Amino acid sequence: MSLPNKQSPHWHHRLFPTCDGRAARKLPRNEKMRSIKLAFLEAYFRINREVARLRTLRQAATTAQTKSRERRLLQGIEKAILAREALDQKYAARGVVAVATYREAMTVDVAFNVPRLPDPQWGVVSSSTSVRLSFPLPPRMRRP
Amino acid sequence: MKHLILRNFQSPGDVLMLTAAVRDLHRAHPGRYRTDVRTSCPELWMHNPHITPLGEGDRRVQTLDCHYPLIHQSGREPVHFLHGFMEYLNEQLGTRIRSTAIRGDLHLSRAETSRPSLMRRLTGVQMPYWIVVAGGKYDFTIKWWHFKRFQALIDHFRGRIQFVQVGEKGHYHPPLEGVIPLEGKTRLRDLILLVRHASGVLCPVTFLMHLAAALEPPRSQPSPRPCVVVAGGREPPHWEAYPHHQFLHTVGALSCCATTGCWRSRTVALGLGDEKDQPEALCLDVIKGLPRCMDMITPADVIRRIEYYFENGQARYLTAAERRRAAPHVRRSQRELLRQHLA
Repeated sequence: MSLPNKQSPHWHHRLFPTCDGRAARKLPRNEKMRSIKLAFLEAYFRINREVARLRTLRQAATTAQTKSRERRLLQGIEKAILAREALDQKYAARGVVAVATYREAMTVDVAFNVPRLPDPQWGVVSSSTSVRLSFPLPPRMRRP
Repeated sequence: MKHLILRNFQSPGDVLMLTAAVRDLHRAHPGRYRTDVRTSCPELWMHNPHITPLGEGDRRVQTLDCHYPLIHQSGREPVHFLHGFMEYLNEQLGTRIRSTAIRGDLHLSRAETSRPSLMRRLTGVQMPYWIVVAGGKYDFTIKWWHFKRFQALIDHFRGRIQFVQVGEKGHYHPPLEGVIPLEGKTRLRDLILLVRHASGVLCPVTFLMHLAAALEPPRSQPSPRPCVVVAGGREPPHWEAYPHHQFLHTVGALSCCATTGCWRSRTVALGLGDEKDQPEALCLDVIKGLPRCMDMITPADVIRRIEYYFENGQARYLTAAERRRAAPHVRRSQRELLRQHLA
């Protein structure tokens, strides 16, 4: 799958998932791994689109023709899932994780985890002596 | 009596090794030291009887930054990670600490030991489960096995072993299907309790393998706890492995780790610009995004090692009732979701 480096032709589509909770078109140009993120979003969009087409078809009256169209659409869904899985595999070594949120089997958001340097730890409060003390509150102060 | 504050701000696995050194310092020299620590993981020291609150401002207190230079000899000498801090303290303090247990030193409160496991709270029954770690930090990506391989063995055991996936938020933990997903949902103390009740652990070389060794299972479970480590050729096995773990390594089988671990950091550069992206820190032999040493370890190899534990009663498979209890909490694949919604 080619990477939509500049823009996706579909990202205004209602079935295009959001990226980390934001609209994909609002992804800044300097966003880290932007093109990879857009490739994943596009892949999830294609699955959504095939599923939507299948649902539309099923709402229509059943004929011999619709049966064969349904079969083609199911094959299309599988093909789109395989394309998305290929992306998972391709970017695994680079540490990219794309976690989809589904609503009624449609992907509504994709949350990304991408490589980053660990936060410096020198500033953390690190005393071992900050022992947590727990003791029961008087009954009247407890939450019901 | 000497007053010591021991400092270390490395990863949890390193700090867990320091707990063993503190335990053995007190065993070797009872009543001679009063110890406190400053580390990146205070949760690993909770309820530890060897810790006495000390202040850095106190003139009697000696503060010591702890390291384990012994690691540089691990390719030539039969030493374990557990010896690292002990050797360093011996050098710095003139002590004669010897290792007294092949494990870190964790302590649980009475409330923690009597608390039902997270799985019991989730499913309503105490059932056997294995913990899986399918990734790790971005600094040592060379330790990662491919998520497709983890998935293959989880699929193999589907319905017989319930895996629970854990991992720190922000690290690389690809979501596996058929597992109970707890990535980013456990604080360190929760994780300790989750491991304590686990029937087994499956992981790369990481904190979890040290945690699996350090924690005694509850009396109702077989001891020691099974653990299968997919290790490859990065570390010398005698430095890292625990005797009762299945430690799958390739040291000696490849030219890049012929006599010891390669100690390299990343499989491929991540573009982070740190020293671990430099050529001398990168894997020399990459096949389809995996170090050859990790590629050599197949899902079938790991499946067989897990099965070892089931053949003689160190672990047991799920019952049908347990399987049903776990089912609603399991992460399903996109295919499964679609099958359900399009049926």
